[in-house]
Amino acid sequence: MAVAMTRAHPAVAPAAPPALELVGVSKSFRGVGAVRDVSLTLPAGTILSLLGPSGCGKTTTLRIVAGFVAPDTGQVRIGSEDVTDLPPHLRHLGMVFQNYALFPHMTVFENVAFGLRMRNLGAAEIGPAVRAALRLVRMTGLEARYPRELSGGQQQRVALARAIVTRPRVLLLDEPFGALDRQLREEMQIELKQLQRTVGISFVFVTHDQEEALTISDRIAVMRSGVIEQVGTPDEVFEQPRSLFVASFFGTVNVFEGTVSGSDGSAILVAGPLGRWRVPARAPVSGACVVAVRAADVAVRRADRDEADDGDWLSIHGRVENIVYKGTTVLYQIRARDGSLVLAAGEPALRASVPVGAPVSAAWRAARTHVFPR
Amino acid sequence: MATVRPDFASRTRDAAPSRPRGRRTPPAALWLLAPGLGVLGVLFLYPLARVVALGATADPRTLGSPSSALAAVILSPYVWRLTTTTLALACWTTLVALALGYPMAYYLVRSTSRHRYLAFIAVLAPLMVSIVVRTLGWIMVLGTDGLANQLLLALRVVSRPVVWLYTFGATVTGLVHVLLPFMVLSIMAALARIDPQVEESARILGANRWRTFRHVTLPLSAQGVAGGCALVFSLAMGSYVTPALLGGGKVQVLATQIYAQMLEIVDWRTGALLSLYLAGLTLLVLLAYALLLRRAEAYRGG
Ligand SMILES: Nc1ncnc2c1ncn2[C@@H]1O[C@H](COP(=O)(O)OP(=O)(O)OP(=O)(O)O)[C@@H](O)[C@H]1O
Ligand SMILES: [Mg+2]
Repeated sequence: MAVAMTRAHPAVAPAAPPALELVGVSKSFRGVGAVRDVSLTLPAGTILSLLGPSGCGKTTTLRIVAGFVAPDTGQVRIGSEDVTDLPPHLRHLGMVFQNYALFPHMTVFENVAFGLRMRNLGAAEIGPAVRAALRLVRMTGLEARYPRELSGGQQQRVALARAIVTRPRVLLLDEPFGALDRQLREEMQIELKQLQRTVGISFVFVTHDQEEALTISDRIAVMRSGVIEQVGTPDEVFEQPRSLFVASFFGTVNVFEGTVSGSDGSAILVAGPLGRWRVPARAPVSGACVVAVRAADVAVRRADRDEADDGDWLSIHGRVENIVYKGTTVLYQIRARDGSLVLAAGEPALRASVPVGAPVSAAWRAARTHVFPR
Repeated sequence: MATVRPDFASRTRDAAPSRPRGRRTPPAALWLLAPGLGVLGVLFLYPLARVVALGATADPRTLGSPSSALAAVILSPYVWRLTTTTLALACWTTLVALALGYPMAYYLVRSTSRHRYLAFIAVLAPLMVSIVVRTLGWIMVLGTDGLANQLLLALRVVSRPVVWLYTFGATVTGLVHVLLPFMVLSIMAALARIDPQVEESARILGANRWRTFRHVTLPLSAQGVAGGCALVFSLAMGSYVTPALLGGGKVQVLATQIYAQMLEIVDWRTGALLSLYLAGLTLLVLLAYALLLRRAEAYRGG
């Protein structure tokens, strides 16, 4: 935890301007705000993910960067140049769409060569550059195929090659792996990250998949109805969510209501129906609050007698009401004494010793408890 | 990570961008053609066979063989003049319809305005009114004391009425009006199939609006353009009402001559021979056109 908090961002020399900057960008469609006062910075050579539920404005933000949508207010800067009023073809960006959007009437070679042709390069330069880009995405030998003769994954690679061959200042990716099956998607995530290191281009990566964002990003911006809720490194947004929304976006959380009854230096005291808890304070909270604990952080133990909480662990007691098998884990639904339902993740083998109906204690480290104002 | 989230991917647009092309039709699908072919057979092939039979009967006056009779009709200077007028009329009509129709189709497919439905209805409206009525409308507009001339006279732009009616230009105008919907609908169908993100890809790759149109939109709508042109051309080749009314006897094409032979002079045989000639000519032009398109495609493809 402490490590996460003190870890510095990838060092950026002060001379290098950010690859991309959004300053107070807003956009409404028919009076409804799709993007509201978004400010973002993408340090050169890094991957920033825009993460959020459907309709929260991720695509709109990306399209504003690309120049397909003009923002109502705010500024878009690429490498400290204000491009807000520049048409898309002069922005020198790359983009990968969810449905690939390859040119169906051009071969793989022609697709990748397109951006270079539009820059008026000669055949002598285009040929080697296209082949190098196709080698990077491991698509050598398919130059003469048409997009309809490729699998989804192959089309995805061609779309990537087409976008990086022009060495764009920033590469924009809108849910590029959304249409791929899980295994291929995970492969592509790792490959994309390697590719990004090889070519050194800065990426903005849109996704609604929290695992994908954690895997790929240097930084994650969590969006909610047009507003950025939190920006940080993957472990910052995962370990120190700034709101209940961010916390619950990264997996199932248990939520308890309570009241802050006091604080002592680094910790606050929360009184709730299940007891009094002493939890570390990350942000000042007072009065009515919610306490959030990830199901994955809650351990289940058979408890035939009550154990008192020690300083490091918090726990509740109840009975196992249901067990949901999930393959690598099982999800315990535990009915606490006050009637509330608590979810806890356990190993499948645990089911033998802690069956449905067993009295249990569900415990988690106080340090893994998050308190938010209600 | 146990939260269940809806599958966003399936809600968004179909991820497969290209539809399979060049696939063989399964034999069972051929049965789907049967009813249509049946109707065509009765309504088209039977009269055609009758016309062929008519043309092939020996002329009792000259006792010439059918083929020499056909040759005599085709090779006459008068028919040659009819042929050039017919071809010129069809070509001009196609060109003007294309020039007017492409921008209209583009607007209708791409506009997000609420008024585009009105524009769409305006494009289709000519199809809902009979050709005769529409053509008479043009006579009222273009006539010597028609709307256009009254306006020009009132504004003192001209001192004497301009003669528009019964000219080649008036005939082309009328035909374009009649046939424009076919061109627009054909091109619209092709444009609507283009994924807007494919055009956006071109833009972000450095193509300005014109180059995006030139390298992406136009080639991807070429099939619609080709189909619309073939449709308008063949309809213009066989058109009778418009040349008859707006040409007023001054614009003689094959179709008006066939009508005259059959119903005025009552020379069914010459009429039948001219009909066969017109059908053959249209078919020939369309075949040459198809071959040209295929050559162009083969050239582009490899
Ligand atoms: N062209 C448009 N006209 C009107 N409303 C729009 C337009 N584009 C987006 N919106 C609205 O703006 C909001 C944000 O849309 P956006 O496409 O940015 O969401 P998203 O985060 O990309 O969602 P998803 O994960 O489903 O792709 C939505 O409510 C959407 O309906
Ligand atoms: Mg989107």
